Amino acid sequence: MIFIGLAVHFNSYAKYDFKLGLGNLNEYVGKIQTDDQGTLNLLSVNPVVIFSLDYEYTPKILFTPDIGFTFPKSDRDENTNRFSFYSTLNLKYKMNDIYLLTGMGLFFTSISGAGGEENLNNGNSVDSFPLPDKVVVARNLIMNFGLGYNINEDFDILVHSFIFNLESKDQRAFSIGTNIHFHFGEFN
Amino acid sequence: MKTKFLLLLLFLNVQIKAFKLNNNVNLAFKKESISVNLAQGFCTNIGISDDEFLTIIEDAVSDYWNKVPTAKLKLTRGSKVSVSTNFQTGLICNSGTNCDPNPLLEVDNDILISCNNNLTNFPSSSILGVTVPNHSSGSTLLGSLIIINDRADTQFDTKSRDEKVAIIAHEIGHALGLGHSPVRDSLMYYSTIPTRRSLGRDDIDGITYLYPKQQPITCGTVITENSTPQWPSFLLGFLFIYLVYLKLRPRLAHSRS
Repeated sequence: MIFIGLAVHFNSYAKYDFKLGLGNLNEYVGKIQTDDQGTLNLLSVNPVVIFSLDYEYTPKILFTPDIGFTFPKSDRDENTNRFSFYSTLNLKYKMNDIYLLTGMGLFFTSISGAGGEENLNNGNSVDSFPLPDKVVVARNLIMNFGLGYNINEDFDILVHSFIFNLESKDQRAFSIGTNIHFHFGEFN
Repeated sequence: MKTKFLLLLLFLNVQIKAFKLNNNVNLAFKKESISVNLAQGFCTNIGISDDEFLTIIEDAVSDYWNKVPTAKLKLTRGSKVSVSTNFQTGLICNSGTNCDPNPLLEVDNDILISCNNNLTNFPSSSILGVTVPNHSSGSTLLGSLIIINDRADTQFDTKSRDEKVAIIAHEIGHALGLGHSPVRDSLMYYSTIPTRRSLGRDDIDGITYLYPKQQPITCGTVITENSTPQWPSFLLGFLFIYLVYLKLRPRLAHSRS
C-alpha cells in the first residue's frame, strides 16, 4: 500500500525509462563450500535477466522498481532444479554519471524435483534415497544497496548487494550482483 | 501409505550427487525451533565428556544448519537429559534397511543424541553414527534419534574436534529429514572429509526444500510460540526507505522549485 501510494504520488511528476538488464548474481558470498578442500564461494556464474523502470521524481531522484530472474538450473545434481527471482523497489540518487541505489524487496528461491529414487552409498552398502517430488518456494525479504555508472544515454552498469536476514547474525547473507542495463527510454 | 524410513549410516571413507530425502513422505518438523539434546552419561569410549559433547552440538548447529539464509529453521543446543539405558544398548531398528524403528527408543520431541554400543547398530568401528527419524505423524516429524558409535574400538574418538562437529552436523541433517548427497563438497556426503568448513550448495537446497523461509509473513499458518518473528526486518526496511526519503526531502523540494 505504501509503495502504491508512493508510485501514485510520484506519477504526477514522473518521466520514466524502461530498462532491460543482463548480469550475474553471485549468491551468498563466502557461505558455501565449493570443493572438498574447504574452499568457500567467492565468484559463481549465475546469469540474471532484469526488467526495470526509472521513474524520475526530480532530475536527481528516481524511483526504480525492478524484477529479475535467474535461469533454472540443476546445480549439483540433474535430479533437482533451482530457480530464483526477485522484485525490489529502490530509490536512486544521481550524481552526474554515478548513481547510488537503495531499496528493499522480496527474493524467491524455487527448488523442485521430479521424484523417484537414486541409489547412493549408505554406510558400507548402497540404498535408494527418495528424491524431492514437488516445487517449494522460499521467500526472503531483502535490502538492496548499489553503486552505478551511466555509460551513456543507452547503457548503465550497476554493482549491488542484496542483504538477506539483516537482523540475524547467523543467517545474514550477501549476494553480489553486477548488471548492465539497456535504456529503452520513455514510451507512451 | 506406509512411511519408508532409511537407516542412515555415516561411513568413514569411500565414494558418493543433489540432495536426497531420507523418507518417502517429505517428513519434516513443522515447528521452526528445534532443540538438540544429549542422553546423559552414556558416552564412555568417544573421548569427550557430556559437557564437551554439548559444545560440539552447539557448534554443529551454529556453524552449519543455522546459517542457511533461505531456511526458517532455528536449531538450539539442548541439554543433558536422563533417558532409559535402552538408548545406550538397544537396537535402533527392529528390522533391516527399511527401518522399522524400535518403539523403546522413540524420541518424544525434537532431536536426541545418544552414545550407543550395540554391535548390530554398529557392525564396524568405522560407522560413526546412525540416525532415524523415529517419531512422526503423517508428514510431520516429531522426534529423531541420533546414535553415535561408542563401541570400545570406535573411530569417533580419533577424529579432530572440527571433524566431530561436522559428523554431528551431518547426523542432525538426517534427523531433520535429509538423505545423502552425491557430491563431496556437501556436508550430507556419506563420508567425512577433514576439510569441512561450511554447508555445500546441495545442503542449502535440501534444507530450504524441507524448511523454506517465508518472509515477511507466513501465509495461512498459525505462528507458534517457537516462531522467529519475521516482521522486524520488514519494518526495518520500510523505516530505512522512509528515513532516506526524509533526508532527501529538502533537496527534492529545492530542486523542484
